[in-house]
Amino acid sequence: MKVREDFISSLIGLGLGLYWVVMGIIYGFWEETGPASGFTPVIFGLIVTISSVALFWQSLRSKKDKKQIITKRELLGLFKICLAVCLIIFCIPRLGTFTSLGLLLVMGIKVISSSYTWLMAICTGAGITVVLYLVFKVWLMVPLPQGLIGF
Amino acid sequence: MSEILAQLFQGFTVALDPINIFAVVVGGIMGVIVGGLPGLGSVAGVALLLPLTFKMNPTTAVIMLAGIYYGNMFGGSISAILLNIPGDSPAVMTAVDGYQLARQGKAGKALYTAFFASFIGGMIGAVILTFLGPALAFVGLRFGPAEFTSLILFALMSVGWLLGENPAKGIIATGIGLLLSTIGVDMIQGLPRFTFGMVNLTAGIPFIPTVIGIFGFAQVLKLLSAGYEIGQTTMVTARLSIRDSLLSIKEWAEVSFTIVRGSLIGFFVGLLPGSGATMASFMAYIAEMRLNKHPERLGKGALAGVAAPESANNAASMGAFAPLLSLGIPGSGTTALLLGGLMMWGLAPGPLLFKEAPEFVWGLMASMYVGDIAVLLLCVLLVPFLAYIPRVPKAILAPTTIALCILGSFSVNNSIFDIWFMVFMGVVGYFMDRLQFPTPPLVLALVLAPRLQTAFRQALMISPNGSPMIFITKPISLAFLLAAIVMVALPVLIKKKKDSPSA
Repeated sequence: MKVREDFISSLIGLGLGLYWVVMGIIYGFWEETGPASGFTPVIFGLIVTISSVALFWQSLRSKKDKKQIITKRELLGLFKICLAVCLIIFCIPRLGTFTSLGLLLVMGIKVISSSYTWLMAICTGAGITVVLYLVFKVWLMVPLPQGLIGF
Repeated sequence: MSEILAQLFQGFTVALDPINIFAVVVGGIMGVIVGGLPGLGSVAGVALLLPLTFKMNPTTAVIMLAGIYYGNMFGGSISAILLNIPGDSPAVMTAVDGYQLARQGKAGKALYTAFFASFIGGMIGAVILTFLGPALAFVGLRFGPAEFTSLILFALMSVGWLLGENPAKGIIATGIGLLLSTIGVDMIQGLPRFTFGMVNLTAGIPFIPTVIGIFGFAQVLKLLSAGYEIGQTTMVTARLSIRDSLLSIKEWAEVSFTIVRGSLIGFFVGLLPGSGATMASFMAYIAEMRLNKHPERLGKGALAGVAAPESANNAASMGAFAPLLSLGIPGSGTTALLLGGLMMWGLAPGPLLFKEAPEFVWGLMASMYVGDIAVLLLCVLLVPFLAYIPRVPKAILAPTTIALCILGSFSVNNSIFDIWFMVFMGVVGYFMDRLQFPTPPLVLALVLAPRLQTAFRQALMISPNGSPMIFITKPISLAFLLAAIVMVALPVLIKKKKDSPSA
């Protein structure tokens, strides 16, 4: 399925712009003392709305823009990476920051390059995790979540 | 003049005391490291080390903390250039051209340009601060809401130079930045806006996680998602050597005016209360797009695109000291922390400080020269070690960058929400890039819009009957408005003249 990306992005922009305008009016545009809370959202929303209409018009008139910029394979790859990162973030408060990041590093190294053996991936991942621990936890004392494992 | 030189000489006797040299070098090293780590800016660096300086002599303590401040400005460029993750918000614009240079195998040149531009910017800032700082601090005070509004409008009018090939997409990107800036509690009326019921958004969107997401995480997504042009290569493949990295005479000639321009703009913006080094680096980059002989090269890996923001952010860090020392008004978050430190040590910044504690003031000023040289030497020595970063295989670099993005985003507010937000903005940044929406205008709008909103509404509120005439009746405001009109009209007029049959 060929999709016109500009057409879709202009519709998203239009939706966002109009939402900001409507909400801005609800927050209040002007009152006796001067501009109210919704004053700038309405103006900024109008800027996005008008420029999205311009892009929408462009996308309708454009004859050359038929090729798909983002492929399904690329979207699937993006989804997999985001899913993996989200799982790691979900684990941070539960397993601990450095345990989770260690898992991310080891799995990441192994998945991205098959030339690394499990031992090499574990050693490299553990080494980087220890450096990050020493910098962020020991030296800078950032109160990172420790989770069940405490690391 | 001779009196200032004599006092500066006295200051050097304080700054060159071995303990003070040690303090400025240690502060500078810490600043470079903290600046190079994503998320941890100079505010975090100074805040972390402030308690350690309680027992020190006040002069030594402030010299050390000031070293962290400008060392941070140097360090922010390292991760921006090598990993496309700005170490701190003032380095956002450095990432735009710096990372492109790194991808072209010119990471060494980009790093040296950043370091020398930072050094020269710092030196120019220190000289202006020494001779004109106290007088210029009062100029900053003349900037009320109307003047600030016109100044920011002037900057936003220049955004046209960042819009890219499709102006509609550029304006939408700017607009999205403006929309995001309205999220959070309205600073004037206290009403929460666009928070979607999330408590974490009441303070507005977290800026550093946003920048880390749009630049750093989006870069990893591009690198790892299948079928993309750089998907099969490492992020940066070229080797770095000192000899190949040094700038040629021709390259020096190209960036020298840029550095001077960036330094002057940076110092002036640094003087303005509440502006800071981030706004300074954006202003300098915008000026470069307007004044550079080859504006078409900016954004695609131009040395000037690194030199302008780096000279400006260092000069701004010096400029921020003028209102702090002369008036007791901090110009940035870091100087606000330093103000707290000064008061804790029994020093009251203001016009009397120069008379009551001259050895402190002039010692601090002289230490800026010493610190700038020390940090430059340190950074130049670091380049051979940094040379290894671009040679790290993609399989190690990509997960490490994700880990740094996560740690950097969390470290700003110690919030898991900020990590989720970073991932969200990373996905937004990825799609913006793939759909050819430029990201710098979005970040520019995010930096400028909060100040614009507050200043614009304050100006209308203090104006009789909410009249917009306040922007015209104030001379500084009028000058910026006229400059903004010229900025918009000039390219149109030039194009018309070129297109006219007689031309």
